Amino acid sequence: MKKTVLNLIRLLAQARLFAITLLWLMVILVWGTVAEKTDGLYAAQQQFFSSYIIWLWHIIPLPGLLTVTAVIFVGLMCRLILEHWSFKYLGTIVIHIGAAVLLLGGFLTARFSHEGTMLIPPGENRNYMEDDQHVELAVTALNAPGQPETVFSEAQLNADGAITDTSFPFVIAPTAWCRNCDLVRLPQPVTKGNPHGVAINFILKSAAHDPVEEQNRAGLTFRLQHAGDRDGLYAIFQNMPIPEIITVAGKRYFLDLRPAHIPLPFSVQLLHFQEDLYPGTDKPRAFQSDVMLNDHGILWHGLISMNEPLRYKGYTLYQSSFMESAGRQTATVLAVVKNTGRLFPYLAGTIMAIGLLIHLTQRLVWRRRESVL
Amino acid sequence: MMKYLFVLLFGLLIMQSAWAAENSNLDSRAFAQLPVQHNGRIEPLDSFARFYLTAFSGNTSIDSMTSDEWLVELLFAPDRAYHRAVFKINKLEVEHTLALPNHPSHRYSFLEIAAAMAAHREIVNSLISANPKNITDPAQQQLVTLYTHMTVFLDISRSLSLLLPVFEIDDAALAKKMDVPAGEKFSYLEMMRHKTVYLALAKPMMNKMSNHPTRQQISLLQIGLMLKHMEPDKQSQLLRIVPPAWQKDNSEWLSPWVMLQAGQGAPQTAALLQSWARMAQAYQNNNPTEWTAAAKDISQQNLSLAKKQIRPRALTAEYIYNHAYLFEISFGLYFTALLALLIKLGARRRIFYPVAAVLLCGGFVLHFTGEVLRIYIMARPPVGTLYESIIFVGLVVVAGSLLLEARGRNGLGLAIGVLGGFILQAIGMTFAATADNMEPLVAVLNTNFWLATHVMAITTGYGCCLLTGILGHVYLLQKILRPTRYNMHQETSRMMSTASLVALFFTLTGTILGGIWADQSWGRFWGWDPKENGALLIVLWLLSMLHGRLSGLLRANGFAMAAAATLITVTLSWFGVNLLSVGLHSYGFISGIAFNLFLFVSIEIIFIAACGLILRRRRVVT
Repeated sequence: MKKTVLNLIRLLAQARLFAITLLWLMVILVWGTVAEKTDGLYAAQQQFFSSYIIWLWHIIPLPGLLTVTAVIFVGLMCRLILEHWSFKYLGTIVIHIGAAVLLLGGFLTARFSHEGTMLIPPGENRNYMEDDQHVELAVTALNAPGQPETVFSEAQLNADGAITDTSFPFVIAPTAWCRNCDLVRLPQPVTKGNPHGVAINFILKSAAHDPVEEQNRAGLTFRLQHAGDRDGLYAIFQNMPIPEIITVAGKRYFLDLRPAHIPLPFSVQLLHFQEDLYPGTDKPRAFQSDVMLNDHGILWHGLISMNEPLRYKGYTLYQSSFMESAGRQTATVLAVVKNTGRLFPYLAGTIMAIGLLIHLTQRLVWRRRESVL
Repeated sequence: MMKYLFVLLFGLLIMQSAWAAENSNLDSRAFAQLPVQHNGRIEPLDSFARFYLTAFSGNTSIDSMTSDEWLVELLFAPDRAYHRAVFKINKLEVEHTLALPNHPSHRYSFLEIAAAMAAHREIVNSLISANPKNITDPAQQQLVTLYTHMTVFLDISRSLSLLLPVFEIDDAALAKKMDVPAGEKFSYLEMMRHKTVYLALAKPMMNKMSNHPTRQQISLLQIGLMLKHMEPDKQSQLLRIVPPAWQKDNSEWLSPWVMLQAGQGAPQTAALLQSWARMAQAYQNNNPTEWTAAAKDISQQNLSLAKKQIRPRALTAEYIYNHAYLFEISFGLYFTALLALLIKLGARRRIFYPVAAVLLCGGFVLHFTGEVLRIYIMARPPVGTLYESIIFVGLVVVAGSLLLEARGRNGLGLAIGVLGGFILQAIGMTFAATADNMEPLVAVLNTNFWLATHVMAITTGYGCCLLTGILGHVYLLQKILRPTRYNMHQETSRMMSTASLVALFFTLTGTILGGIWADQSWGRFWGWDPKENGALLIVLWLLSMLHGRLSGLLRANGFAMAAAATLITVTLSWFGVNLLSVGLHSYGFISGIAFNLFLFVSIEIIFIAACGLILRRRRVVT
């Protein structure tokens, strides 16, 4: 038994296995990079770099990046078990330890990090970040301040069956859901099924997924029930110019399709956004946001600029870009990340660089000794 | 030897400027080192002149004038410049469409083209008002570019018109009233000083104009016409030579006309304009001492106005950089060294070895000096753009091969350095011509710390990979052509694995540093961005290669083949990724290299496969 285990460890620790695994990793890398151009960054990353299995033509399973890195990590561990702990191999051992730390950090990051974006117009407050990859439906009672909004995830909208909640009296029965919709004007208005709002003149038609994630416009067609005279067919989509507000029994409810909100333990107010151009050109030289954090009453002032993020309680806020819209002041776009494994690459990088230096020096020194002999 | 080369270099410089001085007795050097704000940075007028003359004519000199002399003429004697054939038209279709007289040089003057465009205004208008995306025909594109160039040319030509003596009053009485000397010419700027007097005199004329105007009335009328004629000049804004009086470290400079209208004239800026007017005067009178003195004053006044923005030594350094052609000369030296090595190969004369060595070292010194100058001028590491990375990688390859030569002393390092330096400088020169290669960097890249660490490490890694790749080729060729010289094979093989280890060190460190930069500025260590993937690809390739060799999966020949293929990996990650133009890093996008890249990769694959087959067959036979 012990012998079998040892043999298995030897097998996995082979440099040969690593070399071949790496070749497959390179194939995935090239394939995925090209796919980023054709299918969009997010979709390609999901398919190639965040998967255990890549399905070729939906039938043939191929090992995905997670599988490959798992194999490499196991191999590396076996290697470390079998390592000859002597000065002669010091360089290699150090490099291998560094690599293990790097992979471990990668695993932690992939498993436990959250990220999103915040779009804040000047003067306004935000206590959540937005997840551009997912959409949610929020139902808010407008003339009942203090009452929390009710949120339904993409999966709930996509599933069969109506949705309802105790916070509102009506029932929403989705009839069609599309992650990216085209708004198609009908030749004549719909008369059947008691249509309301957009649904009178338009239908939402499912369109191909846009490689640029933000370009996709989610849309939902549904029947409203138990809403008295407001019953009927509705259509809503992201960023509607006229928001869909339904009045039932004197109360007004706002139905909003929006990027999924991820709550933050503090709020951020944009005090001032500044954009510097290279003089006499349109080329940005730097931009920065002056923000005020409010952590349950504790105020904290921060300055976020390109390459100079703000770190607070495990969250890091980066200047990502900005949004200009006609007639309004420029809003800042911040990227927000909570990353548990963020110190690992620093550590791993240092260890590996030192290991490589040791290895190279040893090599050069021994070479010289040989030539003396 | 280094000292000798410097003497040679400065000798060349002096010769060139002496020749330039013969053309005109006004010293264009003093003028050429004056600062101007262009493309978002402060540069000497020399660079400004070069940029536009190259854009218009495809050349840095014209009619045996340097670009500086051309700009001087354009600014101080625009009427002469309008007749000079500056605009190069490469497409015959454009000449046909505009019915141009078909000069053999394919160069036309501003006036010729302006007349032709006016005659075909329907075509020109239809093109310039169309969406640029819809214009895909190369000839049409050139016509649109030509139109833009014409407007730019006109804009620059009017920059100093407010200082040129264009007004004249013959009538002594009127001259006296207006307080200007009779019969002498004076400028718009001086005219403005007497504007109230002029208006008071001219106003009554508007109400009643007799059929027999007096001399005074004719004079007043002429002035009025001239003022109206100069009205469009006020739009001129490209030549930003006036620093604002109240300035911050990145404030916008103004063209003389814009400054005049913005009313930002502080006493200092007014004095600055006076000095420019003196310069214009000196040009008219062809007075070299006054010319140089005025230039010197302008330089001083600029400095006192914009101390924070101007680095006078950097302006001089850029002037020298522009005129020394260091990279071009080093390219020439590498090429000559290559010839020397080829002769050595054929003639087997020993003398050619030191000749090639000296030439390579000379080329390296110039190459290095050029890089140092660039660092000084731009005050940042020389690796911000694709062009810069090519030049830098070339330097790394030559430096690495000089080290190899110092260890091996068998001519191998020389051969590699010469070949690598020659090819990379050649590629660099094709990129240099396309645009202003000192443009400032976009916001994300504008950080010296990360440029100096991450980007330098990665590009050094590219250089070492190229060395590894070339050594791989050399090994394969040696094996095939000189199958019995085992010592030589072993030596090359050893160099190859050292080079690949050094390459691994730099690319791995560089890639991780890149991740740390990304973590610092975008919030994630790794985002599977194409450029990141490209860098990782090289690291993986090197790792796979080294572990393959270690485990016996690859023997000596296989390892050499893998090393040779490193070239493919590097070119794909360095240039290929830019073709995808997705992700955060696609700042170096270039079109038209796809085919060359494909050709290179195919040839490489065929070469390596062929070498492998030959070596395998030989092994089977023996």
